[in-house]
Amino acid sequence: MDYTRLFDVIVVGGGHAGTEAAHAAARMGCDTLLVTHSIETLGQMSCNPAIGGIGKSHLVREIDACDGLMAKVADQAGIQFRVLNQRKGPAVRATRAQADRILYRQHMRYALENTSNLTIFQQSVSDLLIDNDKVTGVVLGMGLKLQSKTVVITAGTFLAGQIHIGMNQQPGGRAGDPASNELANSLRDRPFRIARLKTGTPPRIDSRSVNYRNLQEQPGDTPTPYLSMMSTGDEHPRQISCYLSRTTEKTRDIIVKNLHLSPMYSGVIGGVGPRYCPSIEDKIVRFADKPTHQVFLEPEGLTSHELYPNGVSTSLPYEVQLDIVRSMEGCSDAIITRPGYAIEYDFFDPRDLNSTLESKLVANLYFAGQINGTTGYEEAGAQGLLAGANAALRAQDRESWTVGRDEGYLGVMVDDLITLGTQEPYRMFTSRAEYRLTLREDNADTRLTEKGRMLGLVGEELWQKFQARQEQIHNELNRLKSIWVRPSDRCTNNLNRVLTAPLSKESTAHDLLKRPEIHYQDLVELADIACHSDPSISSQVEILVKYSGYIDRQTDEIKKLKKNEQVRLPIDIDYSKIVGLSNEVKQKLLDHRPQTIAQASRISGVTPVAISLLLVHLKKLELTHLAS
Amino acid sequence: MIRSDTIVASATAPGRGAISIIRISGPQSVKIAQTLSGKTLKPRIATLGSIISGSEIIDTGIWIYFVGPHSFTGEDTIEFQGHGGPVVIQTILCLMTRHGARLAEPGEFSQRAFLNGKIDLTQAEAISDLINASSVSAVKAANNSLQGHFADQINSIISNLIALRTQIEAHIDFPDEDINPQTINTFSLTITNIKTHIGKLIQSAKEGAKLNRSAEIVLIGEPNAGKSSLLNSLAQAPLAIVTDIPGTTRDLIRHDLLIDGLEVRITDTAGIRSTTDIIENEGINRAIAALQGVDLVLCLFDDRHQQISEDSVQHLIGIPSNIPVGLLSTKIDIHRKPVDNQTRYPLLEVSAKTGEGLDEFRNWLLEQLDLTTHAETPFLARQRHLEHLKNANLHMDAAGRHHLTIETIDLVAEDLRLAQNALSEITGRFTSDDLLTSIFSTFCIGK
Repeated sequence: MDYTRLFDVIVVGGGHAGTEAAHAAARMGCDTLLVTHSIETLGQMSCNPAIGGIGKSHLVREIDACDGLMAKVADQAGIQFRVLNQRKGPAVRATRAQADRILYRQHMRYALENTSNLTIFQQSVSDLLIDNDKVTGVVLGMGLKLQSKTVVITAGTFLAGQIHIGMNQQPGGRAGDPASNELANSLRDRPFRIARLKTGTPPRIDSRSVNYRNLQEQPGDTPTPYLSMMSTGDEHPRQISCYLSRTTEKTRDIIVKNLHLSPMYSGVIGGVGPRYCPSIEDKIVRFADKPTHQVFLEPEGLTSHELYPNGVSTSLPYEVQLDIVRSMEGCSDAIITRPGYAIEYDFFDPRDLNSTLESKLVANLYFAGQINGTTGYEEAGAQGLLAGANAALRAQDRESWTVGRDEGYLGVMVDDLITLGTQEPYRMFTSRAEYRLTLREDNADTRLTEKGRMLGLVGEELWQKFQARQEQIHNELNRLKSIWVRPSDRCTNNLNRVLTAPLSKESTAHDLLKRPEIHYQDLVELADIACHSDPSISSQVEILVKYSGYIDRQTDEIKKLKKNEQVRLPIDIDYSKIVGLSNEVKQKLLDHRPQTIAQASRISGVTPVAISLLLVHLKKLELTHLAS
Repeated sequence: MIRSDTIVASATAPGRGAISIIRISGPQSVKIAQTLSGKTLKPRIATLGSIISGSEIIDTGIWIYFVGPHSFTGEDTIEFQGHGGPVVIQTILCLMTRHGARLAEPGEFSQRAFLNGKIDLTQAEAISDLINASSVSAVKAANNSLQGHFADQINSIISNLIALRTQIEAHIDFPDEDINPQTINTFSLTITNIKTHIGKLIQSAKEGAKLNRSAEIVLIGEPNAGKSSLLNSLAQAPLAIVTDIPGTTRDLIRHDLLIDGLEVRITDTAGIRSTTDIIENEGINRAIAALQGVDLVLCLFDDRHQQISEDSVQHLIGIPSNIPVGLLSTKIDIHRKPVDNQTRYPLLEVSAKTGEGLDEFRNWLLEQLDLTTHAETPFLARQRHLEHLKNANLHMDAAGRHHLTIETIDLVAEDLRLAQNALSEITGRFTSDDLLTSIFSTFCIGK
């Protein structure tokens, strides 16, 4: 690494946010430096070795639509793939991959090391160089100063991390890795709003010590699904199964008896944990009448014997953890290879960020990942992409990039974070997206690839593939519109058996497909319509036709909202001067500092009347400005 | 909000005057007016025409078409000058909403005028004040509509809908959890129930809302301060027992008066004082409750008070609030020294017995209660609520009829979300995070 040169982008951290951020900036042609405390742990999956799942796979596909890494690497490292909600409608379908932890790390490192414009350097970062509220570089642990146009911080749980096992605590960023206390301390000296969160992880088990005989097997789907548009399925390693175990009455007794040893329940941990990923002690206390809880035994990899028992995250002392694990079905002789723990860490109030993930307080400084109060690799990776791309745009003096709530789960997440902040580690759910029917896993490319190409994120190969696919969808839609089925046709008798109301007038295949009871497959089988050779195209066309009514309505809703998204609130607006706003609303606007009228309207407690008053005030400012 | 839809409202004060003006503004206004009148309207020309619904003539009056941007709001605007009367106005407003207009939010005409540059900067403050004042009156009217049975029913519908969405969303977002959610048949049954419930409520809610908005005044004062006497002289008929023994008025006594064409409901409360009398205590509790949502509180002081301080007012009203307060010294026939008013509230002096000062008092009262154009009636508030209920019903319909299969559960969820949004317009926002909270407290999630 040449320490004398001026980098375009320096990314601090090599986790899921850092790797995507660095890769994105480098793809866009920026001279990028990734600084990590350990090259060995680039792309480390510190918790559950899985990528995707409900809401999360949408983010993975969005990263992929911009030619990012996560989906491709997951396809190369995935050892069990399933499509969740397969039967529940395309908008909520989600692909999930169990990943081999070692393979994932290897492929991620390989991809990064073979990216042009990207330099990787192993060192801790102890401080930022800030000049006049503008970041100008970083200070390395060894004291060296590096200059850069922009900096992306992706410090994850490492900032002032504190690990709890029982009543025992020690500083740490992740089991086995140090916390970044120097950086945490120097950031605390700046005017950022910082709070604590906590999360936890279960103990790991030696697979050879588990008796699988009575456990339910969970094989992956066949044919094996994949996540990346660039994949074919051939990149998958050998596929293996997960198993389902359960806690028992005995588990409950053990936990109830030892609750006072839990740092959560004895008040040692002050940070807030996630409601959707509670520790096993939480589950037992909150749902006391539930006799058993399921535990997914997920293999950590093809070359490892370790299992990740998904569902028994705990911070109880090791002795109790062992008792808990051994009380689970099939685990009476289980051997724990690593203890579970809870970790508390600093996070930065995301309301201090713009929708580009740039800090409102320090220019050219971007935050991505768990540091913003989120949890999950996918959430981190998607933010990394956005922050990395925006850092690159800034370094290149180009206009910034934001993703709307109607364009992607990435947009929903960032908007939620920066307008509402978060009280618990923020995880993506499909119910957070009001335009869920439009934001599907299957159309991430339609939503984002063109934009990604304009930004310089999308390479030639993906671009060609994308264009070909769009053309095929377009052609197939037109083909269905041009095929006519008449009541007198021979095939109509077959069709009428499926139709709720028999065909009474000449219709196109496109119109028939709009009927809820008709599927694409019915057209092929009953109406003798030739099937498209690519099932992903025919299914895309079927979704587009069937959802068109709903999608049109959402498009209308989006259009209306767009107007308010475009009305910007000046950064120096003095809310205390606005006539008629209640003190409560003033305080909320001051805390959240919304960037647009639409954001302001999403803050709870900001009433439509308050929005009217804001609009009047803006107009007044405009008129005053014109007058002077 | 910046909107491009068409809004309608009565532009004249409710309950007063022989002529009423109804104003429509927005892109659809001309279309609506021409449909209802059956006439072709020319810009800036007054056209005589009726408003016809089916074969019935609702009202006959003058239509005027102002072409945007040369109108009050800067948009295409129609004014209908009709014969007024609350029932007629409300029928017309209903007709217009059925043809695509939306009832204007309080202050919305002025707001549009300002945002479209039709009102200059010097009036900006006034617009803000207007929006504010109107919203207070709208909140009050909405609260009046949202009372008793109607509110109970809406809340019960909403809680059923939330429970259903909790089930369905958990089904979607947590398929790997052993949460054992209800089956599609149960969903279907619940949807039908909620639909029936909304339908019934729409039926019953059409009746029951008071047509006109009357001003509400509460008289409050120490026992024997002369509240009942004052009421009697305003009403010119004995309404409450008037004696010299403190604590005579044990119940709330209401009387609806017409003062200069303005309907006024005056509530005479038991004076607030500590007592061991159970019945009277009940009266005092009712007095405190009566203070919620009124237009004006009149604090009565008799001749014993030569000096009125903030403390003595607070003592009477209890919790401080933003309700306008007026002070009334009631027995100037007994003590003729001017009272020393140390409060920020206006003070008037009358004698209920001799009638001295009563005319001034009446005029002052009317000024205070001036229900200008921005005042919202409970009827309008109820009308808004009905619109939202109907919207919710449409979405429930779609959820139940078209898509109730597991394959299209994402569409069902969307319909239910839209239904909930419509109901939220009545009772306040229900966010996706509220939904998640409901899921996490109902199911043990945590794979």
